[in-house]
Amino acid sequence: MACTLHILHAGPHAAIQDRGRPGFQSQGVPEGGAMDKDALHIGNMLVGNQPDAAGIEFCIGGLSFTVSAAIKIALTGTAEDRLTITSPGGQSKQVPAGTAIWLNPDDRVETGYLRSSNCAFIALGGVAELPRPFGSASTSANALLGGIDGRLLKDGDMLKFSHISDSPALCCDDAASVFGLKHQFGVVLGPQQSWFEQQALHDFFDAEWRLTSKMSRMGIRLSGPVIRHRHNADILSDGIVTGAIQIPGDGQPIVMMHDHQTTGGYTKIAHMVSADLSSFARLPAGRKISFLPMTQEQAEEASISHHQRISRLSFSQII
Amino acid sequence: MEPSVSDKPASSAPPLPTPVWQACGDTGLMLDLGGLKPGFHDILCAVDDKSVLTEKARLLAQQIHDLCVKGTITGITDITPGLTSLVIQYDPALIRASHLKQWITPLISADVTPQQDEVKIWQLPVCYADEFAPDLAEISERTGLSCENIIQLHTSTIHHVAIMGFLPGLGYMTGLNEALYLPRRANPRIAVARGSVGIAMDQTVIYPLDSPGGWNLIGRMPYYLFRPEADTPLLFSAGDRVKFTAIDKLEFEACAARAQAGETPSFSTEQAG
Repeated sequence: MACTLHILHAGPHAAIQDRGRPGFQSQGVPEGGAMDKDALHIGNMLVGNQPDAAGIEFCIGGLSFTVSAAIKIALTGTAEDRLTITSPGGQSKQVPAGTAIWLNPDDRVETGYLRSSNCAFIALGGVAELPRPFGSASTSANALLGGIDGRLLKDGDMLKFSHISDSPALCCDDAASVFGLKHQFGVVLGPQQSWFEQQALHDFFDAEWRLTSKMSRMGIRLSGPVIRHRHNADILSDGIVTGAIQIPGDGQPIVMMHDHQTTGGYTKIAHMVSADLSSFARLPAGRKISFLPMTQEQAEEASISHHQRISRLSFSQII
Repeated sequence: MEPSVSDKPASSAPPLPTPVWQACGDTGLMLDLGGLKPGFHDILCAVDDKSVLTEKARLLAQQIHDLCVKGTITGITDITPGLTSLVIQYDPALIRASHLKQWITPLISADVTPQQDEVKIWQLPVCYADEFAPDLAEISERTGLSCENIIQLHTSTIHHVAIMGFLPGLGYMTGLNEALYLPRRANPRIAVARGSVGIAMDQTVIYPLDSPGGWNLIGRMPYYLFRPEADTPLLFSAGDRVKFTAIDKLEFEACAARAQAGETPSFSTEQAG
């Protein structure tokens, strides 16, 4: 059995994402992958997929599509968000985030606009029939990789899912607690913290930072006090890890997201801890955040306990 | 007592900086072979020492990669060589930074001989015509060299793909003639066309895709560096050499048409060393 999604409206930013393609940075190939890995994992669990299977990550909203055959669907994101499902006969119902449901043939799915977060994920119970360059179907549009022809979804796209999973639709009552919006984010200093005066490091941790509208899958620009370099912002190009907080010449941080360039020539004052990255990706422009210093060991512990927490979530059948 | 005899020549090279480990969050570790000496990050100085470190970073990355493939080290997810550094990404559920450092530290001081016995030398045609070289006139003004001179300098040296990075298929090539050393543009362009040849600092790059970019553009190369749908998507590997030859607009159009049909540029091979 197979099911084809017919994209009616793609909205401003909807793209196929899975866990990404780590391991090819030395060839300039970005890691890519879903920005909200918690949503990727939980969504796939709800519909009976492998936890890193490809689905649709979208920003802002405005996505709608129909399905040609029965398939499970789940939205994962903040608790306020929901899908509207309309049958061919015109009857509508709302399905909250964190709950999977079986769609019937010709049902129409609409995301509406996200109420409080920047992005959310739609998992579909099956395998997306797409090429997997460098081992992943994830869309990195800046590198022309993944998805359909290396681009975002657009109106009229047809997206085929095969190996339709026939397990029951599940729900996760604890999902809401994972997707709450945070305002404090752990960071580990380095590697170029010595490019800054002590005062600049204090300012970095004391400040309230606002997420600007300059956000993309490559990076999210923050605005706040100017973080001054001792001399300048230039370094000899070195490798970049997702979550790196780059301070270019204007002193305003950029958090490097999943489609970041693989190497860069600007100072990186710190890295956001990996356990907080999904949560950070969920924040809409205008939100204010602050940074909390952590050691590398503390951040490693936080990562391990975060993954344990996600893997211990309980899923139940909907009665 | 016998006098001690050494047949080793006295080393005349100045000692290289002591490598320094730096955290890149909880999933990355940087080994800075330049020891974070600010002087090493002065882009126009110590070019010779820098190229020693670039090569060391590349070989060390290869060595660690081989150990991962053999299963000697587990938990490493990616290795990215930089110009004088190496970033190792890892999964903290499988290995911790403290263990990784213990594993890798003994490898740093070991002498590594390159395994590669042949290097590729790509012959890449470049059209330096005005429409592809929006910054050539300004470079001429700033360096006091004529445009013909600049093209002559760019085509007369062998360029060396030091590292790959930024976008798929982009190689940072060292070997630019010193007379052409310039900073990147103060105002980066929002759109630079695929194939554009840019120079900045001591390097040349060719943009593998349409992208934003801040390098000084002097020409365009008609072949593809990156074809996402191909069996071998990337043309360059770190360690390759590149020789540019100047072509006119007509030759460019002909090459571009052949590239579109799947032709790749020619190369020769030479023994390394």
